[in-house]
Amino acid sequence: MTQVHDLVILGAGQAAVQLAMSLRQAGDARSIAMIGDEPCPPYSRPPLSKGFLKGLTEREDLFFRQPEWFAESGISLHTGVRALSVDVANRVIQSDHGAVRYRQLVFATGTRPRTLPVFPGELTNVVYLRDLADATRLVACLPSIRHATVIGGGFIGLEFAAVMRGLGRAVTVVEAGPRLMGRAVSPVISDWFLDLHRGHGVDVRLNRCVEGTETGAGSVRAVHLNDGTRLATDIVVVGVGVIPNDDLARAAGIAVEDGILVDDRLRASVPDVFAIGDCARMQLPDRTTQRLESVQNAADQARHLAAGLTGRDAAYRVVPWFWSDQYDRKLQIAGLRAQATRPSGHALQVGGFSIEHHAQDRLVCVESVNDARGHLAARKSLNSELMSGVH
Amino acid sequence: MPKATYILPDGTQRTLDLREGQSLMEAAIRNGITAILAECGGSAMCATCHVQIEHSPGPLPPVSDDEDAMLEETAMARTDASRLSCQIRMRPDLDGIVVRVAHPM
Repeated sequence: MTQVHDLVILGAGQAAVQLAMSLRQAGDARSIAMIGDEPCPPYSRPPLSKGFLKGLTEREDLFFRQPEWFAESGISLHTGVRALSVDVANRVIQSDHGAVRYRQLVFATGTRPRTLPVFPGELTNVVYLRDLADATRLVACLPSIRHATVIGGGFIGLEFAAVMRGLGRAVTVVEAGPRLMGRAVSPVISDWFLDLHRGHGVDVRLNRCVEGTETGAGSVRAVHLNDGTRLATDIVVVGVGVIPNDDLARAAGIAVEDGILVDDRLRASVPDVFAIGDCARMQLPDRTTQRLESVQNAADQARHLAAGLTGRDAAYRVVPWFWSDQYDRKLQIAGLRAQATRPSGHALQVGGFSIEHHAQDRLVCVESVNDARGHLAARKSLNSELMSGVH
Repeated sequence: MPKATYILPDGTQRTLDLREGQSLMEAAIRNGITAILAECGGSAMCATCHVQIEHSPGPLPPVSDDEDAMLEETAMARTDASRLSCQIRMRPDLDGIVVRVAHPM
């Protein structure tokens, strides 16, 4: 017999669990089912490239809520279940464990790692560090890693590199672009972190990519870069971005474009269908769209949707923020740098600094390193600009 | 195993076994203390793991600038005893620590 639920959440990550928690906190009693393809309850991803790798944090420390909470809260949690198709006309989801009917549907399906064709899928020592299974594999391999090759100089790769250096292992970071964290930070911050990593002994190769590999017994022994360099290595960790899981929505006839398109109430193009978190591409007042990959976005959009579903209708407008922990440095970003037209001003604090970025006369982004006060002040200042309706 | 006691918002108490190195936040989450959230996964970025130290048998790690700044952002008012529970990891000399859990957001 097919189950029916008032609300079905496709996905069981941070956005999904925050939505469920917020609904229950508001006293909402609608029936909820949550369907996730990972074999565990919703968990926190940031520690996977930090404390979990260092052995400080264990698997069960990562879960946002223990399994019992879901049943006690009237949430039917289905883990290890893969949704195969969505029929929006009949409001039915087909999964590999049967069908589920819904009155309202939320896509919280997140993203999956972008893969590199130069590493065929069967290689045992190539890890795309995205989920608990990946991180668990890495932890198991750690004792035997003398040299690690990191492909991608973004947040994940650099956090992994920092952990490796902390363990005294050799690391080479191979970044295709001209600077580190090129998508997310300004050139000044890229340079600062380049010095930081090289100062810790990381071998950073910019403007380089892997062109070929030497393998043996199903694992990579060495990689060849596009400048002819050969790197002997024990493990390859890849962090070259992620792709939104919008395939089910696309196949169901829901509008997608690098993510499921939603309005500022997080509504998709089909009635009673919503999307939140990494998989959602939201329309902004200036008619551009934006898809953010962050803890803040997942949690805040989830809270906002819960408010909307319980009668508090409002447009979603929140200043995005991001962070990365590398060695003893905390990089924090408030706002989006892409909107900036000029940097202005370093504000130097003891042991840290912040850089402000403006578009015309408007502050749009502040990047901080070990300056949490500066970062929090920036969040407040940017949020009050939003609230005052300036833009 | 070293123990930590959590005084919950309703006044009841729970005493948990922690492993050395486990944070007070992680132990709370792992044992179903739902008043403590770990929205940022323990990176001192969200202040949802706010507790107040009732009694500590040993010296606590000093409040870093990051933690100090985040403690201004807690939902429940900050006191001198306020800490982010993700920043306190169990050590043998903290066995018997007692913390008061702030009301959830």
